[in-house]
Amino acid sequence: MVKKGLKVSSVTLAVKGRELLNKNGFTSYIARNPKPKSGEGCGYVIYVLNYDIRCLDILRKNGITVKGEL
Amino acid sequence: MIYLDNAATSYPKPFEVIEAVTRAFSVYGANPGRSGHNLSVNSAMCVYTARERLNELFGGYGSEYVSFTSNCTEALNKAIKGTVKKGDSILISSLEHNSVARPVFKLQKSGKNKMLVFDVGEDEDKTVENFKKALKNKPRVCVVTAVSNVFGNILPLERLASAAHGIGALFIADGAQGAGVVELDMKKQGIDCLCVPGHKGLLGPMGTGALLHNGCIKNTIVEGGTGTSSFELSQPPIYPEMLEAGTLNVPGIAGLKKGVEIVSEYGTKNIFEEESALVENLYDGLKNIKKVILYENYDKRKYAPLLSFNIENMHSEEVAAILNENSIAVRGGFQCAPLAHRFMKTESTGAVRVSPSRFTSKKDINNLLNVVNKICNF
Repeated sequence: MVKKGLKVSSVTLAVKGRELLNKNGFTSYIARNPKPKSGEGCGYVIYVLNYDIRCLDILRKNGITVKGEL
Repeated sequence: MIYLDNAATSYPKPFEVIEAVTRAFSVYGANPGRSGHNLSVNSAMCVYTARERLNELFGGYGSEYVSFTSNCTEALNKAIKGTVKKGDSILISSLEHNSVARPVFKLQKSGKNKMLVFDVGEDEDKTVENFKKALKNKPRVCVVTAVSNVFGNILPLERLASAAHGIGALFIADGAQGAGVVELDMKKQGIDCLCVPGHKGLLGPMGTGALLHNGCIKNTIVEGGTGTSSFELSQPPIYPEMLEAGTLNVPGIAGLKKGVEIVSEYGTKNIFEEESALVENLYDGLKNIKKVILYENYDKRKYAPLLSFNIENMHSEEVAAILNENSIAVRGGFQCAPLAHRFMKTESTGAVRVSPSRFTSKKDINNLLNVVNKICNF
């Protein structure tokens, strides 16, 4: 299983993304972005324990922009 | 005390709402959207669920398009000032509350915008006709109440929104008296922004409200911390946080969430029917009391369950004070709606507003009628 962190802009989008992914059979949790890039400021990450490419589709289709991966 | 002032704020609150607020202080004690620890995430989850419940109840555009406010007035200010541009005309109805009239008037006074007012007609068709006539002045934003807070008129939002969209205008609905009592479905009715109080028909605590929208709000009137994009000095353009600078009222939101769940479970339609039956009783009783002045032929298809009246040669505040002495709580005066009182020609006396809830009994209404009868025959 591949674990991946998906960076999103806000806690609301993080919670919404987590709910969507978990409903679709993924196991995910949210946390603060542990390594924000210089100038990026604070943000949230959805960690998916069983990540595959469908995660990005699910989030995109529901209006959640992934701003980067960890 | 017989409480018939639910249009000001609903009371009593359901036990479950009080419990949810109290519980939030211990369970959701951390700041949502500011930290990554479990307590903060739990609080964020509570807030998110509240957004979901509101979005479901009002047929909204998604939980991220639900922003919390401290009341309906704040939501209206954010909606109006967040959508208008310099030079825009803003069209409002003749029954608007000061929460709409004052922000729009201020914009007009600043020289940036023009305020237009259309008259609500004696029936739905006349209202739509008047609205369409006013649209010839090309407003870019229309703000219309779902229900008059003084006289209870239900406005035909779906038809008005459709006409507004026909000329490319935005449609903002003031749900202050409608939320939790009449059907409000943003997608079905074509509402671009819906502003609601949390503490009236939704049974939540005072100090809560929400702004639901479809992404049309581009400007903010309050800026500050959102817990994200900290190095950007501009307010991050990400909903809902863009419209929620500063820490949220989590205990209030927890109570509001429970209130919305209760309303959703019981059903807006059932609440409307129960409250309307009480107002029908009240109307029938008042109609038969000499010296009582009524302002409408009450018909639940046209009016929400609240009723205003006066007694000949008395100011509404005098009547409300006597009712208070008899342990009945109603609201006299002008209900912060001078436009509505001017329109109904009650600006010299105001009106006695009676607004029951589903916790009101038929006996409460009969007690009110008895006291009104005594006042009239004194």
